[in-house]
Amino acid sequence: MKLAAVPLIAGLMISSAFAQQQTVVQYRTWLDPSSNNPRSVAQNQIVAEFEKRNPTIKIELQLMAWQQMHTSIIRDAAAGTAPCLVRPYFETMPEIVRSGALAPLDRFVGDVTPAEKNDYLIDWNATVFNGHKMSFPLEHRLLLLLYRKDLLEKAGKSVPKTWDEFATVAKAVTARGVYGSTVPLSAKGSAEGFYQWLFPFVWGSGDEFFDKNGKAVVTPGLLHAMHYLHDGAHGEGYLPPSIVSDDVEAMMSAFMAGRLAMIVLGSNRLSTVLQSNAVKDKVGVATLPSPDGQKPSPTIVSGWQIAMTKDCKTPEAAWKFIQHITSPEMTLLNSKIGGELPIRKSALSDPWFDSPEARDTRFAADYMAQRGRPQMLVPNFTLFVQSLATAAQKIVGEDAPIEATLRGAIDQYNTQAGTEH
Amino acid sequence: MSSQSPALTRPSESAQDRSERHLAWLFLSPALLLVAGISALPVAQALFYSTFRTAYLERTSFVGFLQYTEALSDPRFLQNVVSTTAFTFWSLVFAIPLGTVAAIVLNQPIRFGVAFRTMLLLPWMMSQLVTGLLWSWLVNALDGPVPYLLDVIGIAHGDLLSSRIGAMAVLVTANVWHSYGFVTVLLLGALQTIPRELYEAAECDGAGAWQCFRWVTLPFLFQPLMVAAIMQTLNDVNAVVLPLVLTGGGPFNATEVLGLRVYKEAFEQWHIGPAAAVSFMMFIINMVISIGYIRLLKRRAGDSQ
Repeated sequence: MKLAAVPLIAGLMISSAFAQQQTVVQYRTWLDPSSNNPRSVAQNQIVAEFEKRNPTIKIELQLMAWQQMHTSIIRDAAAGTAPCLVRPYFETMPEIVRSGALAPLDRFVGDVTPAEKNDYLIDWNATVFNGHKMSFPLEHRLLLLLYRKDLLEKAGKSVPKTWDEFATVAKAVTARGVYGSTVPLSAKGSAEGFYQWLFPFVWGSGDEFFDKNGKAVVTPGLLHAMHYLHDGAHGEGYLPPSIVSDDVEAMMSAFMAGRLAMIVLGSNRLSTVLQSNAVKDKVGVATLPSPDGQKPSPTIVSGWQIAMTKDCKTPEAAWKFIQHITSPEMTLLNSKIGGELPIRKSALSDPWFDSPEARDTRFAADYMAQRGRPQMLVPNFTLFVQSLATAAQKIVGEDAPIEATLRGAIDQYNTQAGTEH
Repeated sequence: MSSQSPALTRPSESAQDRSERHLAWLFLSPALLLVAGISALPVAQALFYSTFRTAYLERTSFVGFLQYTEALSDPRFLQNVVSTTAFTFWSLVFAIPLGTVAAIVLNQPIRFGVAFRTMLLLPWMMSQLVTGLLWSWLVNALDGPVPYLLDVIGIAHGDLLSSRIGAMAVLVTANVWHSYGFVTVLLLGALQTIPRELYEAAECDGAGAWQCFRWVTLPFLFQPLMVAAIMQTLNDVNAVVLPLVLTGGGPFNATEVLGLRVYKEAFEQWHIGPAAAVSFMMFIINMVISIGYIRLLKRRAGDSQ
């Protein structure tokens, strides 16, 4: 009996010694590893592949709802309980960086060659803050114009290339119970639906939202955008009365129900629309209209990032995982299995991107490469877009004077946008 | 009966009494410490934070009560107070009578009573998140059933959530739908304690249905009604989830109640100092409301003696 226990004890000791040698890297993600969602499956494969290639490192996934990711990173880093690796959203990076929650990756990226930097679809410097590289993209998402082929055909119209054509097509399609489009002005969350329409509209006209000193400004492009909304809801009538309270979910649901003909939507939500058997053959995807139609409006490129927290105890192992998950090989896997847009140009040369299965991904990736523009990174992004959304609500819903209302919102933002409160 | 009588008649405290009193405090102390830790500490922390300028979670400079005066002179704060008052008042005006009627109906020996009880209490069992999502789908102007039905019966409505009054009306309706079940449960318990003999005696004296309700039922319901009113008021004053999900505070900030304002300031904009100041003012408002209700209860109890 005693003799029989010897190998068992020896085995336990060996496995315990092995466990002690293993470096554990905690990685906070919102992709549930137990889900059969394609993105979760892709994540599991990427992690498994990493652990196979690096047997001394274990990636421990820590699950967190995506809505709480940004808040939890700031809070837990302040409390000293943040995991080693986190998955912040691009727009929230300035706040997280300012809070001091993240560790700069400079000492690791020193030997990254210019060619390798250039291989990223979005500018390497997009995630450089005050000269420090703070994160890497994990996937990209951009804005597209979705249209109902059935409604446009019925009205005898083709896909608009300019914003004027957009208004004409939308008006032609509008009938009882059907509207040409909507721009969700609800300030819920971060007024996502509103800024996704507004930013490309203003950028496409050649204007910016901030001056060289970082102050928000009222530009002709911004004024034109508000006039366009006001006229669409009142004079032209192709925007529904619910525009003031619509949010992205309401817009998507109405589009899928055939009550809206055209919407501006993020590529991350495209699969939800196209997975519906009832509508997938009736939906077309196009680039965003622009003022002159020569080339499409710039599209916002955003997405989830991977970053290291300031208290990471195993930075070397964590960096190895960042290198692995952002490699061309893994980004290709993430596109093939997870349906995400790739982050590396070299991944696009894979023949898979020429297959019919990858048609929409290829279209979006090409649009991103030509007209993609990283999302604006401003202090207190939520306050900025909520202030503009509330101003747009007043202009459209209450006929408030356009310029004065906009100036009021911009002034309020400039006053409150500092970090100290 | 005088309130001073116990003091006048209290015998001098013996050593044994004193020792028992100390022992009682000793036994109570773990519970008191727990309550202090759970309730008093966060309030004290909010007060502490409200006196500092903050950068995210860091305190940067002491400013005393400046953030209170800033909040009080901000028109948005005034609008938040008006929205909170309207939301709370109208929610109470509908939830309390509706809950009372539901309790009285459910207290009757009717067929399928258990099924009715389940149906009436179902909304209360739902989370505010689910309630908010459900109502936003119901009133969605583009493809929701409520606007569709209004269309069918020829009532012009525009979009309910796009006007100040419409959005508040939808918010109050959803809240009443979600919360009247709580009033029903409290009152149903009280109704079942009323002795049957009291009704029989009243009927013998010639009392009709209304008089039985007025002079037998209602006095028994007063205390649970006040408890329901206190709990409901506090819930409504502190509401966050339902307005956040259903209206997001819009349109034009018309449904931005105080709780939602604090949530947005603290967790969307990271203005921890001002958020702490507004939340401490909410605490004072809650205290004033609670003390008011408790005094009313005590006065009523004194009157009935």
